Amino acid sequence: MSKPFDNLKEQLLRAGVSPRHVHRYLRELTEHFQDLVVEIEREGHARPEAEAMAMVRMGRVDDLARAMIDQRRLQSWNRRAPWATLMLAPCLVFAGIVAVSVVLLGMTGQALKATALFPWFPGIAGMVTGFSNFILPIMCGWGIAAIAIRQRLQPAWPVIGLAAMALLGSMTQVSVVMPSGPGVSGAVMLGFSLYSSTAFYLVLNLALTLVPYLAWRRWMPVLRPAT
Amino acid sequence: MSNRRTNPNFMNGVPEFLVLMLFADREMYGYEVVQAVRHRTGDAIILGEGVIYPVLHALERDGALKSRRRTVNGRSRIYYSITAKGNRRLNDLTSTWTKLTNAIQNVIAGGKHVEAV
Repeated sequence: MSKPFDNLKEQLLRAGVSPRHVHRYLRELTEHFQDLVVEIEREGHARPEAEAMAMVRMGRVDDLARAMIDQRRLQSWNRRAPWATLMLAPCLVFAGIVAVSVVLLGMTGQALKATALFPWFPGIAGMVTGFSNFILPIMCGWGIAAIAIRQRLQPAWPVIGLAAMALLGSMTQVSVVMPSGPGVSGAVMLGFSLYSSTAFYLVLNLALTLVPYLAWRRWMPVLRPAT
Repeated sequence: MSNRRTNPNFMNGVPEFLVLMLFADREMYGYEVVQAVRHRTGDAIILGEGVIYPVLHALERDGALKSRRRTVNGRSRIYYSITAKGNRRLNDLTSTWTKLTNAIQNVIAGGKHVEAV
């Protein structure tokens, strides 16, 4: 017998039920079904008959889906407030990580200035600026896309979130001016503006996040609208 | 105009009430809950057995139940038990249902005026 609740997962995810509850529900239903089959077999029925009777006792798949969907408390936040989870939260996470990186870099530079200019510091500074300016916005975008795919979300809010993230990432720039010698101050700078490179980074970011997301939606059958 | 709340739909809260009542005795997993409902109600209430889980999930989400995974006889299952908040809710529901059933009983017996539920 094929898995009895195969269709239920898609139905629930598309309806916005939190994936955590969906997976647990399916697991509990499967275990319950197995218990029922054993119970009915003990009553003297053959396996196929027991499975069919167990399915009747479990309830119709539509009823099982409806019972879960009607519990509004089990809806995912991505369905209830997509503007918050797919746009605001990723932007805040990005801003927070950039701010922490800048502060740590500044504090490290300040501490080192009092002693000597460590030769590894420019390398660390380069990695932090590279991470903040290029890698972090793309990682945040992939996070948005992953959530959208996992929860079978309609594309509108994920696309808005990805676009907002790309714009924020391309307009944010962390840069470090290295001190010219021991005892001389350098600078860690955080800017938010339209730079000459903004358009390039915007296109690059969209190419690496939005385009793969849309391609995935186009080619993955599971994400196509239900017919 | 009266500001009393209207009575809830008669079947609203029935599965929740039954479930909390059963968990007052001991922790159980879903299959046991359904069997206990059938047994305790003398098969008067027969649910599509799978629909019990959304009720359990929602009660857990509200803090009325808590769950843990336990392995018994080589099978891992999710056991639910009632919390202090669940016990308070059970007391409220018991009171409401007692009044409601008394009211209906009185109506059946001859239309005596009873306190609103």
